[in-house]
Amino acid sequence: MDKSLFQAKAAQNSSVYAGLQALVADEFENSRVSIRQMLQGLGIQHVDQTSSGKGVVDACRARKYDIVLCDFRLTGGKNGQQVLEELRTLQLLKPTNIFIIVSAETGRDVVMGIMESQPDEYLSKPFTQAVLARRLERQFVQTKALSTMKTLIAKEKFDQLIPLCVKHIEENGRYATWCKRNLVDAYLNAGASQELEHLCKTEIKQREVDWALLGLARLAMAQEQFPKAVSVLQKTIQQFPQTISAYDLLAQAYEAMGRLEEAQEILNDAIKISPRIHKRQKHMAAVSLANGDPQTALKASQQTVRLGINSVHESPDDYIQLVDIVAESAANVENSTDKKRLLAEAGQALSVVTKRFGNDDSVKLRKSLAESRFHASQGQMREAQQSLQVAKQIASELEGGLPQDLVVEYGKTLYSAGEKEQAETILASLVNDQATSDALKQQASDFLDEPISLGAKAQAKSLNKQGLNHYSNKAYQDAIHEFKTALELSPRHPGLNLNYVQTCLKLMEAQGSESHMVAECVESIQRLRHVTPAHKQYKRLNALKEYLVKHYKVMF
Amino acid sequence: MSFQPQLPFQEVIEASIKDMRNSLSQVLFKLDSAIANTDGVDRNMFAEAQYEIVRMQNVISQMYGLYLVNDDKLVVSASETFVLELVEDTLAGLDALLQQKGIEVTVQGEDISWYLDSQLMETVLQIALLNALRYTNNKIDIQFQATSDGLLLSVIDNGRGYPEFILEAYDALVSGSSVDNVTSQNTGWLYCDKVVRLHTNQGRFGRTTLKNDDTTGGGRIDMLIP
Repeated sequence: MDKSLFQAKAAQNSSVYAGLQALVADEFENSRVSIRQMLQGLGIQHVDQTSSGKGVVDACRARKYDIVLCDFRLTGGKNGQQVLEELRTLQLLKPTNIFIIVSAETGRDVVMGIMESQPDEYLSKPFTQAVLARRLERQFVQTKALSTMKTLIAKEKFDQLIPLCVKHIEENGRYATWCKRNLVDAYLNAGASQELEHLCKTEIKQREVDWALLGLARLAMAQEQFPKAVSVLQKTIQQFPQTISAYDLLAQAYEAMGRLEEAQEILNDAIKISPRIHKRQKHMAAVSLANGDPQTALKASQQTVRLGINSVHESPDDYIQLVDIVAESAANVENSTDKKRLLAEAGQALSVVTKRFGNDDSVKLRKSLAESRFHASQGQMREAQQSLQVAKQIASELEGGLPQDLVVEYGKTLYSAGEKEQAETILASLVNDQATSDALKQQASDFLDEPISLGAKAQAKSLNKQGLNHYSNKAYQDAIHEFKTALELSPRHPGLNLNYVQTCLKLMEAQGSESHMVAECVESIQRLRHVTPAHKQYKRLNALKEYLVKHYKVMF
Repeated sequence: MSFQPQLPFQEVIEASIKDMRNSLSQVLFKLDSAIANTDGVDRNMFAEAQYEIVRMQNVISQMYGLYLVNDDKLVVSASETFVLELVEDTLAGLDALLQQKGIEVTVQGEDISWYLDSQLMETVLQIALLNALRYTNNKIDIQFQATSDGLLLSVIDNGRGYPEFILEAYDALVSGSSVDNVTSQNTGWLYCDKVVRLHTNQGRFGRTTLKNDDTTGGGRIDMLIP
């Protein structure tokens, strides 16, 4: 094919372009004008323009544009990526509309973020009219060929989509790879595991490609075969270090296996490549918090809030998470100016929650609870009580009472405000309720196990680790010392208490019974009254208890 | 007196490049419309100016790419790309100049797709074409085909061909010897070779070769992407 041919092709299309409607968005007027003229030069008569993200959303609400050419940089806070995500969430884009992000950016983090939002086309500045014409034409040809399939995807009619994709692939159609990628989603949605596995493995035999490896990993995740998912994902990342969704998925797999430190490491890698993704930063904040790493959690939570502003991803969770993390980490900040700034940030987050989501009663409730926890963490017990009373008032007026998913948050707040018994009662009844979801049960039981600050948790965890080291080296005295110090920080932790008991028993087995040690073992067991039959340490607790009863004549 | 660097340099480069690209965008557009709207003026001059803009755009991408290569940070992000589309996109950017100079470009190849980083490869192809433009008599031939070793993409001109010492210098360059004599030509070639080499598949790496074409006697660059 020679060059004059494709020019002729572009010219033919001017009649096709005539009836189309286009929107151009760019922060700079001269840029808008030039792109608009380029489009008009191609025969598109109706070209609107706007400078802001809000302008794009409003315009798309008022009119269906066939083409949106949107720069990454816009006025008014929202960027092009956020606009695209919002248009999709609000379903203001038809599957056959073409959304092109235009940008002069070079920074890898920005470009990666744009790519993750999957615009139909990414056009890097500068470009000539001829280049724009080529890209548009290509999009039209593709959209025309795939419009039925794209519509089925938008309507989530996978059973109808699957045969169409399969047919296109069998006929060696031009968009066979596009079809294969979309088949992965369709098969996953339809639960067609065998077909999915066959599709991916056949492809991998020819060439290792990211989507096929990811397909196998997603299947393993769906089947809860986490070790398998981990090994496929590790391979994916090794071969295709830019496949960012593999990192997110791997972190999820590690998390499901309880390997939180590895989950944090992999999220850290992902953030290095593409930091400007709300859900990734939020995930990082949660994982690092669970790992007892308030510094990382704070940074990730601050980013979450920042990325949420002007975006559809913004949620009251982001702000409440930040308040809780500040409450946890402020104690470790030595510099008084920094500390003041941090506390002010939490105050700011609380007022934004009210401003942005104040019409929602459950959000109001959560805000008062967070406020109470925050005051309690700073030793302001009177203020903590006041906020708690406000929360109780709101809760009592809620239709249907306190929503179940807020019980843990409520219990934690009661505990921090000093109402410990009530907190335990409410959390224990949640754990024992058949209707509670496993995730909530776990959260409640984790809190009952260790209702202490993150810093103390992390310290106790490391002492426990050292104790276990001593134990495996049969240095029981040293182990007992570490466990005991850890128990001072975290007295209710089942694993820790049982490690202590078990080590004492080992030592006494070798050196004979000691009454003070027996007494301390009994105390440890008694501290674990909150451990119910559903708890993963319950069996071990019972075994050690029986051993004490049998060999040391104690009563419970 | 020593001082702490005040700015993260990579971000300085990135911000500056963004500005340059925005400016070039405007200059390119103004020229495009001037060429379209003006009769009877020296069109040659406009085409030359456009060529300089494309060159500058290319050098900016190259400079940033080589900066990343030097820090081992350049990452290839391959996705399925129709090779003909890549070639046509690159040519579209040079359209006015090719017409003006009366250079005939032929493209030979099937409508195949390949896994490659289309953004980086567009810059590579642009470098190869800009070089060919400089040396060609009146023809440039772009060929591509799938071979058992990978995608072979060649740019061939019908000029006088490269002298032996340049071909030797190219071989030295791609075999990894340090570059003593930094010129825009060898940095361009280095960029091409690095980008192609970063494309891998099942343990095989991409590679480039510069030689003189048997048929035309002009220069020929071969790029093999596994």
